[in-house]
Amino acid sequence: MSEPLVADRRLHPASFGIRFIKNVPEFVVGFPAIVGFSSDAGAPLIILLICLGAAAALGAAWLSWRRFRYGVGDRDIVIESGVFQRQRRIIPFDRIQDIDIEQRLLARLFGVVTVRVETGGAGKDEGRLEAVALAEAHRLRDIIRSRGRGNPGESAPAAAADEPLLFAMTLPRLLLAGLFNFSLIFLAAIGVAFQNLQPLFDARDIDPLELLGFAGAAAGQVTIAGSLVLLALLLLLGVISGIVRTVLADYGFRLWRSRSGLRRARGLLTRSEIVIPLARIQLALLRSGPVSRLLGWLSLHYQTLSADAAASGHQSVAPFARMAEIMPILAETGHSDLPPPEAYVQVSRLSVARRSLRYLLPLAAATIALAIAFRPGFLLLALFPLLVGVAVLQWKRHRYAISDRMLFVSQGLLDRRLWIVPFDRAQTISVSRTLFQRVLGLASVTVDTAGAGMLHHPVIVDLDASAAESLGALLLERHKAARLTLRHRHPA
Amino acid sequence: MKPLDPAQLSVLRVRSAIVALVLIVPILLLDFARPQGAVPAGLPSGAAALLLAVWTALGPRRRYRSWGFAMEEDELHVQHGLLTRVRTIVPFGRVQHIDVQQGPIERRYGLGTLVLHTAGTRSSAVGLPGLPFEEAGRMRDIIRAKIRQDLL
Repeated sequence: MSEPLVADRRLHPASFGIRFIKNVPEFVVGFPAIVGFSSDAGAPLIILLICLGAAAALGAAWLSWRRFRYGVGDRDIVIESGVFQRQRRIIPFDRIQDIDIEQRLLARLFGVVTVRVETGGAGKDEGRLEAVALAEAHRLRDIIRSRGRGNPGESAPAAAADEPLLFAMTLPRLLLAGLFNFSLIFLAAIGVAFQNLQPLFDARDIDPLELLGFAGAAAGQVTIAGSLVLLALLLLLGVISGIVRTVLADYGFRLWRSRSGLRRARGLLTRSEIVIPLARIQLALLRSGPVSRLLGWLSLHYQTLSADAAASGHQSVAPFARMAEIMPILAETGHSDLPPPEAYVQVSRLSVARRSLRYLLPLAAATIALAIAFRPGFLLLALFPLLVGVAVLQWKRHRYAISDRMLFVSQGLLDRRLWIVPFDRAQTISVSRTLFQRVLGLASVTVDTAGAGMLHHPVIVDLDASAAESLGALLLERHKAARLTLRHRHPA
Repeated sequence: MKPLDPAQLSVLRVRSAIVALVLIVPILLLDFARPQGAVPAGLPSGAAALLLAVWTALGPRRRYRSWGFAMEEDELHVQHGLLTRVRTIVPFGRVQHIDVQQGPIERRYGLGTLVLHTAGTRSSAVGLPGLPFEEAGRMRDIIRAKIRQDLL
């Protein structure tokens, strides 16, 4: 009584327009070649070649649209694609976790969305529908929710109302978050622009600074007032670019509890709606900047593992929130039993010595080198106490705690992080000792997790060597216990 | 911690010798091809050769000694590193797949390298060299059985 599995649906016709427009840049790059090749022949041939090229691109886009079909059966989704080499892919419902919906700017103009089928599988882009109407995307989602994993049979489609809203960003909140998202990225952009425009300025004998009204600066007469104005301008631009970036990324931010995990929608120009299945969450990360922390604002991220690199890494689930708003989210994902402040353990005091050595040795070398060439270079010595101060503060901020299910590591001076790592998510545990650490009798403990970036990961730095050994052993023991409970709870 | 198979010391020595030879050839060429100045030909390359000889003589033993491993009931401990000493614990339940590798020099001495791959990022491939080849295969089979047990 199962429906025959037929690929009876096509993508939205806009897909072919989008594909064509996406190909335009390649086409434009080829443009000078065409002109160069046929410049002797005159304008008519050039126009003819361009028309032919455009027709070919249009034809290719049309063909690939014609040959792409998909269909929804009783138990599976089927996708057929390929112009010459045909491919028929079948994705069973019970392998589908949920559906991600994304809408880029171009797709928005056409009123279509890109649908990505989330499976637990290894291949990337396992099921990707480039352009379907929003209503069709929602229909697919409802079908998959009602027939998918853990929901066998023909139950009614789960309505969106069943999904409680966990967190949302209002516009004032968004603008406030933007204020703290101060960035000087635009400086790099301006630098690049100037580099590229420099020949232009040189040719016309114009100084770009003069154009901006800094005639004095251009002539080498830097006044204090001039520098202050420039600084204020930079700060203002930094604030504005921070707000713009935040609004672009997090406009209309909403987070729901969905059947398989969390669902997040956000974005101004590129709207996206992604699903973070609970099973994919490796750890939780709470972050706060120096000023926003004082005012009680934090951000929450989950580190997720996915075969698709774009979905792997740290997913922001609350970009700018109060602790009271974050706790319910942590509760949904089972990360909420945070230890009381007194449960945190500080690392060895010798860490200050180790960090100071590490910072001061290169600085000492630089100071000596500079002082030989240039006597006032000795003034760099003034930085020494500052660096020792940094070392002390970093030691003070670095703590860890252990509950029966999770490891908590807090670190960072300005950008402070709290890592919440469930023991069963550990991949490997290592105890390492660098040369300096061995001299001072210290060691670090690293818990490796899946889906992390190389730069950001939880490490407990500079424990006493013996404490590190026993912590490593304890973590291993807890990891095994956690895996064992997990196996008992979900007998396969 | 168990040390590696003593034959691994020979493997490390052969490898060091090869690296030293590969390095000394261009040094010699550069030394004798350069315009002769205050430093006589042969002095820089002689010094380099001496350094490489010391490195080849002492390095392999130190590196061999830095390695150690312990095969436990549910996990493998691997220790290595001269400057930064790292001991990594790999719970068998976390192993995604296992390789047994054998390079040409290792083959000559009947040794192999066991590599455990996890889903992690920093230490996603934990390698243990210097095992007798059959022993590496045996360890792989034991770990594989454990993984299967973990899946049940």
